Amino acid sequence: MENKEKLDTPLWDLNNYAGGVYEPMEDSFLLLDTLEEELPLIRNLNPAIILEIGSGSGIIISSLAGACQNSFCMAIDINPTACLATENTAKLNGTSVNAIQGDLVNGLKLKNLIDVLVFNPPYVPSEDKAGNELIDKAWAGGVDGRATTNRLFPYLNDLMSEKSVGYLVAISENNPLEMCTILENMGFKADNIKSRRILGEYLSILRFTKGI
Amino acid sequence: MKLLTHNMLSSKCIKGVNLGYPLGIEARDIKVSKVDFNSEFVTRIIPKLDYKTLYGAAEKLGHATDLPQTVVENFESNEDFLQKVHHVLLEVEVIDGDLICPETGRKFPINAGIPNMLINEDEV
Repeated sequence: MENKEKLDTPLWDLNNYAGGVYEPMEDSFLLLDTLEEELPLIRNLNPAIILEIGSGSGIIISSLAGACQNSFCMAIDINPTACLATENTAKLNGTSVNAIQGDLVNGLKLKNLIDVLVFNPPYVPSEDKAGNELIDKAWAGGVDGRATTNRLFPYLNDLMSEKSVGYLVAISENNPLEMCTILENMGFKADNIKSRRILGEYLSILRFTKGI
Repeated sequence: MKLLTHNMLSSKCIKGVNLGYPLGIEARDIKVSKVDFNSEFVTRIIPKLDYKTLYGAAEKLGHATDLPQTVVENFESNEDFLQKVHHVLLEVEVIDGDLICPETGRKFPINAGIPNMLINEDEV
């Protein structure tokens, strides 16, 4: 099949997973819009492996899988229901995603294998005790909303391939500028490439690159 | 779980585990399905693979009969070889079984084709 120029908004149906999976919301759609704009850059990389961490319903990685047919698309989620929903969403959209149940990149061989990474983390500031239920892990991000993203940072250099790009969702409370500085101190080039105000949140998409 | 996924999994996240690679496989249910052959993709993925691990996994699942034990020379232009690698990478799937840490014997269950790599807090 030919690669399409646009990133189609995928179909999804979470009826069989009701209440167990984070429903696509404004943050998901901002990420989809951004990835559509980024498609030329992503295709130019000719990625072998694309990974989404915390895929939830699976709409993001399924749309990338549809747009990048020469790539192997993987999804990791801590929630087993989300893993099933992700693979199902991929099938609904005529594509294939390979789900792994896991916590961040634990369980992955960290040998610079990932060419494209997408992570819409739990970014909402929350009390520490929130997030004990699996469904709450989809949003509860600790004191500054960055607890989960901060846990990922130390792995990124070993995770990302020599020519790679990653996308992170953040809100203003996460301090996106400081996140970019952290990434740049690790050797990535990092930018805030998209912002949108939605109800009660000021969302950003951060892009970090290596070797491009 | 496709064998390409298996090639990228490790149990190094367990406290005290050195390499955690490759993970052993005990398969109780294997599915073989047809996936469109994409020679460009297979050519690109071969340098990223741990080929020995792929061969070992294919052999364990009984799908290594035609597969060379090492990457052949000039594999880019060897369609027959690329087809064989394609088959074991993408068409052979473990639906139910266990992955096994080579150092501790700790099992990671595979249910509905999805490997569960979660570990307990006391294992980190």
